[in-house]
Amino acid sequence: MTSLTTGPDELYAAAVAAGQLPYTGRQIITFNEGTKAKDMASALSDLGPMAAASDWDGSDVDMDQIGDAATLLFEQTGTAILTPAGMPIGVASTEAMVSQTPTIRSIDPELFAFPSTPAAAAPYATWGIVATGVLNSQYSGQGIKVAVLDTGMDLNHPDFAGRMITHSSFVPGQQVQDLHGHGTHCIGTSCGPRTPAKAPRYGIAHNAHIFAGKVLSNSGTGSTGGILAGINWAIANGCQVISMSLGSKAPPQPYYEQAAQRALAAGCLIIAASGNDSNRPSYIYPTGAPANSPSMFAVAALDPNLNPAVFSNGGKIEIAAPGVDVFSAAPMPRQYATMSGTSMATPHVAGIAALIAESDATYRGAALATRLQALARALPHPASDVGAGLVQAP
Amino acid sequence: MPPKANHVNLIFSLAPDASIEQAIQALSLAKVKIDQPLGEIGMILGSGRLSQLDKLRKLAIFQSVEVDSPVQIAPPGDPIQ
Repeated sequence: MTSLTTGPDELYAAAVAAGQLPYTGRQIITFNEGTKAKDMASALSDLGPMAAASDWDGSDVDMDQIGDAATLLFEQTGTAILTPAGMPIGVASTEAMVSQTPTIRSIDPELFAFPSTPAAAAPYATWGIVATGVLNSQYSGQGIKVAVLDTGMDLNHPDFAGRMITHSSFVPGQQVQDLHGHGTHCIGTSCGPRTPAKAPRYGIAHNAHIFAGKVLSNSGTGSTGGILAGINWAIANGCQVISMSLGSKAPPQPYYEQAAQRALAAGCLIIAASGNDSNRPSYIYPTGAPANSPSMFAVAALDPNLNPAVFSNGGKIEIAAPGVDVFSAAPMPRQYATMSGTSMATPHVAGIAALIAESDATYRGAALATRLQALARALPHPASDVGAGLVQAP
Repeated sequence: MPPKANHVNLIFSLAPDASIEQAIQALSLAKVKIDQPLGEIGMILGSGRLSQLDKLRKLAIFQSVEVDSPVQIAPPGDPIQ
C-alpha cells in the first residue's frame, strides 16, 4: 500500500509492479495562492488523518512520526501530499475533488525524481535511461515508426515478443537475423521494453513500431548502396525516425545529403553516429560520413560523467547522448551485452526522437530536429563536441 | 554473380527536376546495368565500367555519379562500436 511513510525504493517497486511509472501512486495537492494555513488544513481534514510540516516546528519532517496520516501538508509552499487512502469515498476523480473544494487549485500525480548529475545506473534502469530523463516521460513511441539500419535484429529475442516489427535485408545472401550483435543492441536502446523480465530498463520507445533494416553483414561490412536502399525503404514505409549507427571517415557525400534532404521533406529525420576515431584529448577526429552531411543529425557520445567519450568524433555535432558502458539487448542466448561507442549514443537519440514525435504530430523532419535540440540539457563543453547538449526526453 | 572486370557499383543521384523514368532511359542508352531505382530519395543503384564514369557525370540528368564504397563497423566483441 502506498502511504506517506513508504520509502522511495518501495514506491518504485510498487509502481513497476502496477505498470504506473513514472508516477508514484500519490497525488500532489496545490492550493490557491493566498490560502491560509487553517483553510488548507480544513480542506484536508475530510480526507482522514493529517500531518503538517509545522508539527515539526520548522525542522525537517520526521517521516517515522507521521503514523497513518493520509495527507501531509506543507503550509509554506501551499502544497500537500495525498495518499490513495486519503481519496474521499464518492469522489470519482481528482478533477471532481478540485471542483468541490474552492481552496484547491489542482491535484496532480506525484512523479518520481531522479538525480541529473552525476549520471548513475540504478537497479531498475541503465545510466543512459536515467540521465536522459526517459523514466519521467509519459510517452512510449506509440504510433511512431523507427527504422534502425544496422546488422539486423535477433527476431527471437524474448524482450521483443509481441512487438510490431517489420524487417528487410539489404545485404545480399543474408537474412535479417543478427549474428553480429550491433543491430540488436541499437534496437534494444531505441525501442526496447519498458520492463524487461530479467534486466533493468534499457529501452526507450517501448511502443514504437520497429523497422529493422539489415544494411551491414554479420561481420559488420556493408555498401553505401545498401544503406541508401535501406533509407529508401524506411521512407517508403513512412518511418518518422531513422537511426544509423554506422559510417566511415569519408568527407560529406552528395548522395547522403540528398537522401537526408528527401527524408526531411518526407517528415523523416535521419540520426547518425559521429564516429569513434578520436583519442581525446590528444586529437579529435572530424565527424565521419554520413553524419557529416548538413541535413543529417549527428550524435556524439558521452561517458557517465557527461564528458565527451575519449573516442567520440567532433566538429559537426547536433547533440550528445550516453555512449559508454551502455547495457542493452544482445542476440540469444547471450541476451544482454554492454557496449561503448557513438553507435550506442545514436539510438538513445532515435528513441527519444520517437517520444517527441509521439508528443506532437508537428514534430517531424526538421521540426523534430529543432525540438530535440531545444530540449537538450546544456553541458559545459564546446558545441563541436556535444552540440546542443545531452538529449532529454519530453 | 561476381561483377565483371573493371565494373563498379555506381550511385546515381538525380537532378532536382529529373524523373526516375528519364534517368533509367539515359542509363539504358549508356549501357549501364540498373540494379535498383530508389524513388523516395531520387537515386538509382547500378553498375558499369569505371571508364564510363566521366561521360556519365556529364549527363545533366544527374546531380552526382559516385562509385559505391564499403562501410565497416567494428567486429563483434570490439570494445568500441
